[in-house]
Amino acid sequence: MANIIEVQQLSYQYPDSGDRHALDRVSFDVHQGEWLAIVGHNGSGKSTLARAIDGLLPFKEGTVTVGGIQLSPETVWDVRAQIGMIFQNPDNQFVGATVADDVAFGLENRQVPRATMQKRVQAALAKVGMTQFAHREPASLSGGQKQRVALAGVVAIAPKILILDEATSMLDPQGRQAVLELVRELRQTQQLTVISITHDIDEAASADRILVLDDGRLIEEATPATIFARGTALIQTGLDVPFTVKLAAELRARGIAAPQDFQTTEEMEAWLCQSLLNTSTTPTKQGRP
Amino acid sequence: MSIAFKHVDYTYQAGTPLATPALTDISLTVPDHGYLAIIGHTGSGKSTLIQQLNALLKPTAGEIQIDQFTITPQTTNAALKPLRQHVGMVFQFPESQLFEETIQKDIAFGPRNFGASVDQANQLATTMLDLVGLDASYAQRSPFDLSGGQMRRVAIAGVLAMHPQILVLDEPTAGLDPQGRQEMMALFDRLHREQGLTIVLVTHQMEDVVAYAEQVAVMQGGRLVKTGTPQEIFQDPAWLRAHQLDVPRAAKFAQKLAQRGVQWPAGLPLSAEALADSIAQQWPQGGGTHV
Repeated sequence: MANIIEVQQLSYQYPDSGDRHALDRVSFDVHQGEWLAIVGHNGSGKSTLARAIDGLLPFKEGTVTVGGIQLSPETVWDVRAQIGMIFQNPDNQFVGATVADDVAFGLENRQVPRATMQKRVQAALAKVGMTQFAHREPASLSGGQKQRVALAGVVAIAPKILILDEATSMLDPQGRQAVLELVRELRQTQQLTVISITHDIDEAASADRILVLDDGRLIEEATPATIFARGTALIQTGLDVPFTVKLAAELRARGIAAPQDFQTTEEMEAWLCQSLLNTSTTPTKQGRP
Repeated sequence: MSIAFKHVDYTYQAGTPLATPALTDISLTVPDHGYLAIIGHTGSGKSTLIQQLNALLKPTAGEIQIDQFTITPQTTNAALKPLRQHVGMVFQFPESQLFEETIQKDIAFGPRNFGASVDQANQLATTMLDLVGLDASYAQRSPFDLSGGQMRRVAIAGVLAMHPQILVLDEPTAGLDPQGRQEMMALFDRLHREQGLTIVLVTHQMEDVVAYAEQVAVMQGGRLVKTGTPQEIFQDPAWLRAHQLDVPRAAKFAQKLAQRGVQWPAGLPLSAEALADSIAQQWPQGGGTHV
């Protein structure tokens, strides 16, 4: 698979932070079309990394190459043209007075003709299921609706790469599910490469690959199943412990061992049902008289 | 009784053509040193309800009793200063309210406004920093150089520095990483148990409700639709879903097992611990753990 992003030996220090590196010789590739999750505890450098890729950080050491273009002050607009980014707080990224105006903002910046723009705004709003809100004020929407509008803004400019910087962390559970569902769908229909910076276990589980950052360093790169098999130590990587892992740990403490290190919800359900229900049908344990 | 709402109504822009009723006939009580969780779908009135607790919004009808204070539609703002010291509010994303040049000054700001001397206030700031888990080396740093989780701790230290008896928390862990969330919830639990603070928590995290709350109030469309213990509220997942509320992860899992024939004689287990207990009780003895 071709690499759409290549990051080489990227280092960065915030001013006045002493010896502490926000990013410390980070190198990795992102394959075209993949979903890559970047995890790590608060302050591990995840957001700094995302901003570096989007040309929002004046780093001096290392290189970032996006779609074959090496990021520099001269190429920053060509790099950004390929990337749509959604931030944590939806209120920090609204500029339009109405939902439709907001979605049109990226197109206006790209000087798209008005007639084309109107079509693309409508299509983008339809795509995220927000057509009926086109003339509403963004402030009157719920958090989940706001992030959907932000996604419509990304859909309208059809970038190759979508970066989600904790984009679901402020949403309620339903809002979070709806946004993730939409991202999965957009990834298929728009051939997007997705980079999601997250603490959410469901979001990380959607990824093909997970990078773990700690104090500015890339400490691990693995599939979700490998990372989740780490069990209760997962919390140190800035992720929550999956429910099945928590339950397996509680069962182990009561002398009941699961047959494998990591089970999905379905696997665990099947194992428990079989263990519990088989017995109840044996003659000695039958509950009925 | 720490908090008592008696038939409270609240209408935004009351008496104008834009009047919008936000709370209707709310009656509820929280005992001294209680721990109440308020849950409800976005827009159900949770935030409007908690803003009544320190009279940022005053009821348009009814009465609220908070320890020695009574709030009615006629209460004047002048009477409210001691109430606002008594009820500490931690709003969503409280770190956005930090403003001072050092962490110490930021935490000391509240006590200074309520008449403490500079020395007393600085002393308090040091104590509160320690209480929220930041060491004294932070005191002279700028609050704006901290990570999001640390900034939030500083903001909470600023609220605690007023020595409130009631702590109102509006989604206090939103946006924190899982470890930060656990630490934050453990902090509030410690304040509740060791210092006897009454806690009112607005949250979407049902696991936290199960783990910490003693009482749950469910809001919908500005009305209180159900109150009870976490055990009572979460026994009926179908009802919760109908009210667009999440079900604790363990209860969801237990319900799936129930659909396949597993029985939960003591009721639906709500946490991984309770679920593991129930499973262990039913586990075949000597039958081996393999299948």
